[in-house]
Amino acid sequence: MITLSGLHKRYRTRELETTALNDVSLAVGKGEFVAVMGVSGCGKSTLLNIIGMIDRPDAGSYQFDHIEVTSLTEAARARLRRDRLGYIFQNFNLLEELSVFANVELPLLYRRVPKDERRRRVREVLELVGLQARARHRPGQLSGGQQQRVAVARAVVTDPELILADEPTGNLDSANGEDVMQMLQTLHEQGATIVMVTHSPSHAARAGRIIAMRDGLIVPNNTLEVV
Amino acid sequence: MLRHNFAAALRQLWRNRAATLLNLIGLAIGLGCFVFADGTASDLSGRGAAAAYRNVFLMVERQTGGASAPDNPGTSVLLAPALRAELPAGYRVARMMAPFMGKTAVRADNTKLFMQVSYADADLPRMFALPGASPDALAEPFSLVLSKAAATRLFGAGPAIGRTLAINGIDATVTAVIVPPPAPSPFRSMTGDFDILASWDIFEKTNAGLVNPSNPNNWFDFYASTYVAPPPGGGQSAADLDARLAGFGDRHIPKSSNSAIFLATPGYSMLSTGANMAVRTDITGIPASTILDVLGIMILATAAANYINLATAQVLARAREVRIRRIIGATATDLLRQHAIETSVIIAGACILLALLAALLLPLAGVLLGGNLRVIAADRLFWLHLGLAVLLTAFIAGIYPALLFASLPATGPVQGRRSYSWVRSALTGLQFASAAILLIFVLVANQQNRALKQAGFSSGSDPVVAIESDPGSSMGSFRAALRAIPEVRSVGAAQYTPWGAGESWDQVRRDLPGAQPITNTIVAVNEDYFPTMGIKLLAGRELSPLHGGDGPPPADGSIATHVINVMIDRELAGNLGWQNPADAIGQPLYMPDTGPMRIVGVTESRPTSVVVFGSRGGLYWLDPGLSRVTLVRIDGAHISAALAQIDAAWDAAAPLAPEKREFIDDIFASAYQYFTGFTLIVSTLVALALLVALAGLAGMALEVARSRQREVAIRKMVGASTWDAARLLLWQFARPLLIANLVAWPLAFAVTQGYRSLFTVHAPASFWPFLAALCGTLAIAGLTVAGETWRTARLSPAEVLRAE
Repeated sequence: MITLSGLHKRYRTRELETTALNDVSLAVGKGEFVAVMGVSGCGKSTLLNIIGMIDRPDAGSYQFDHIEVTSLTEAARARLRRDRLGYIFQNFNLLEELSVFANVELPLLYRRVPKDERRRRVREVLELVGLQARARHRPGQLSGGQQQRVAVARAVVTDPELILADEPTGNLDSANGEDVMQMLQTLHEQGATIVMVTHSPSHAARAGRIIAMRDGLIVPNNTLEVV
Repeated sequence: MLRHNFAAALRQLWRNRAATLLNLIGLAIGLGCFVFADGTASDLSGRGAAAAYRNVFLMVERQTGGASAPDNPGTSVLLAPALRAELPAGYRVARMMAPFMGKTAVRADNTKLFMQVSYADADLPRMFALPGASPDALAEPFSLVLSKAAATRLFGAGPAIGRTLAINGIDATVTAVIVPPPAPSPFRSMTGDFDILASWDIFEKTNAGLVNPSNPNNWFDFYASTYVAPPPGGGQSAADLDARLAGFGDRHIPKSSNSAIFLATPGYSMLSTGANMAVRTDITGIPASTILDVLGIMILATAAANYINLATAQVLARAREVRIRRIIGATATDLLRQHAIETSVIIAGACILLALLAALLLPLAGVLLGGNLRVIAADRLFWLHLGLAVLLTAFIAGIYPALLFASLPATGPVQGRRSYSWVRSALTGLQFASAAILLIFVLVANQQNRALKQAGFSSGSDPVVAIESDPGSSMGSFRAALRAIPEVRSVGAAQYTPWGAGESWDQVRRDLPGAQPITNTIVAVNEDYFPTMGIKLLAGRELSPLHGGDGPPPADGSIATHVINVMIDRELAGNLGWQNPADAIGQPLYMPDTGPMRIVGVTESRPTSVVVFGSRGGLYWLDPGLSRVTLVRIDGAHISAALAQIDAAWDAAAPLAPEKREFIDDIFASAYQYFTGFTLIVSTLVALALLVALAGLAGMALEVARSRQREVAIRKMVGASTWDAARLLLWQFARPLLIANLVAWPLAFAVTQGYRSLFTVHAPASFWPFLAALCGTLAIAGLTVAGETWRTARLSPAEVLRAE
């Protein structure tokens, strides 16, 4: 599903230049659950952002389902993001001014899904994550775990083929973190391809494959250094 | 602490340079517009001039009972003698009459000119200083005070004092030559610039056939400005004077001699003004100075709303700074003071910017205000207004952001962010509502100007020339000579020059119980007036000397037994209840101080004045003797030849009098020019108001872009395209604008209807100015915010989230 070849990415500020990815090549098959691990600053979030088409590599090739993403326009990438990808972030990234229902509904709005269909779908996923009673609440009125569940609901409401999760349990306690991991597991079992960045070895162990990164490179043979 | 606050203020302003610049520009423009508007108001009202004459009162005439009307700053020429009879010794009373019916014929030796001549009582130079003239400059009979420019035109470089001039054929002696009255002076604002100030006896002799001071029924015939100065040191106020004059109207002003037939006519009382000079009123009764002040305040309020918006947005972005300050010991008062100093620095900066702009633009301002900057500078009220404007702007603009700043919590999230968002949207809406009203007004005013232009330039291919003569002079032989000219189509005559200064109004009513009087213009004409002016007859017949009843009312104004035949126009007929003109024929009409009248003809409505002055139609009666303006329709194919022969005929008929000949199209153009000038001034103010509002919107765009970056990034992550994000941001700006326009429309409609109703010719009411204002404000606002909006919409989500 995902084929990355020779990806390079640098970030430049006024004072210095940082290499985030240095000749990264990777393939993820359809239906895989891949965990990416590494110390802070190793480039794993950058890798996820490129896979998620919200950032562009400076060099290299990225094919998503045989589509060369690096040559797509921003509009085309937006369409792909909208139609086939879902995101879950460490700090939830919900819109504070919208209700839980509206936050989850947002991707469907951008897909121009009809109103009745939208409502039905949102109710379904809220039930899935156990938050149908909080539909009218705002994110500020929820706990961290609940907010992350809303984020999960938003990520899956469009039935994406690929789910990207960047430290989804990073801001949660172990119980809530476990709930989120359970949800991801369930989604994987239902056929979703998942790429997850995590610091937690126990959570990474739930994945079918672990990829280790260091200094912008994929460590061969998954040699992990426990942090 | 003050130094710290000041330094913090400068740092904060520098850090947000773009917003600071926008605020400076917006506030400077707002204050500048207020200064211009109030300065013009000061000039119009003569406040500066009045400052020097606090013990001189202008009498105004107030109607009591009957239809209400604004106080009339012009009072009967018979008022002054009546006041002298009533007031104790020591009071000075003086009349001053503005140039009567345009310019007056003046002759000095072989020089014949039309000049501005004002008439005044001997006490006037004793009440108002005329540098270069003694207080007794008008004490001698038939004496004149010339302006230096007039003296040069008449006598060249030679001495003028002691020389003789003929005013309307009456010889008078020059007793003084003055430079134009220096500011502050009542002469500049009350009469316009004058050439000659003549003693009152010249006016009385000129109009001997028209004004009989011993005839109390002449009370309403001629009006002047009447001034009263109590004895010096007496400490009299206007109220004291009013108390002395209680019941004056009942004692001196006659009731209608036809009261047995008519309904009671309104009574009058005489009042002294609370201020020293009358404020020029427009015909709505609302002083023009007030209108201008309101405009200036509107624009200043827009600038203040801008500041509130931007400052509030910046406050919310400083929550972390406030937390730290509070943790280290700042109280709410400390924070309040800090923000107040920031606001003061901005206001001071705006004042400095305004002063620099004023220095650059002062010459232009002097031209626009007719060189009267000194008058305005002498007006203490102007400086008071300016000071108040600066202080109030600083307070009103600064208080909300300052209170908000001081209320930010030391810990926890900022509460109520949504309410701040509503406040900002409301303020943006307020600015654009104000700009929308002004923009709609300008569009309607331009429409009105075009309608006026079409109506005014309507004399067709054969133009009409107006030739003025002195009141009372016989033009019979002149008009007979004109009729003999082959290139002359017809020769009419009227009491007043079409589109020129001068008009008469009265109130006419039908012979029905409870009939309401209708204000109308009343014009004396000759028998050829209507064909000369191209006015069609709709019903009945035209006035003619061949019909016995077609003629002027009796001169003594007593109750008449014979009926005066008159013609009215369609508009007056309709307002009197006759929608079908034929229904009016033969019907009686009544007017105060005139004998009963009968309608013999109804014409199409053809206004010959630009502004309505309350008139709802025209009434015409036959009086060739009073019709001092000869109207000549000439063959459009032989204009030059016709004019040459007209001039020759004039020279033959009146060799000593200067000829005043003008095409009525040109007269209209002059009258119309005022309104184009007025529209230009208002358009300029509108453009500035929009500029201020747009400056605020640009600042808002910066703040919104900064505050919504994260949201845009998240939306783009979940599938929004750049266009989706741009539309979202644009809607945030468009929504308050849409609401503002909708809210502004009813008020704009009322204002524009009121403006249109001032004119004799109305532009048809239409929706397009409102739609144009809506589309215009949306388009301009869209262009203003487009850059920042697009930049934000195009942000890479990864960059934004990475920065977090």
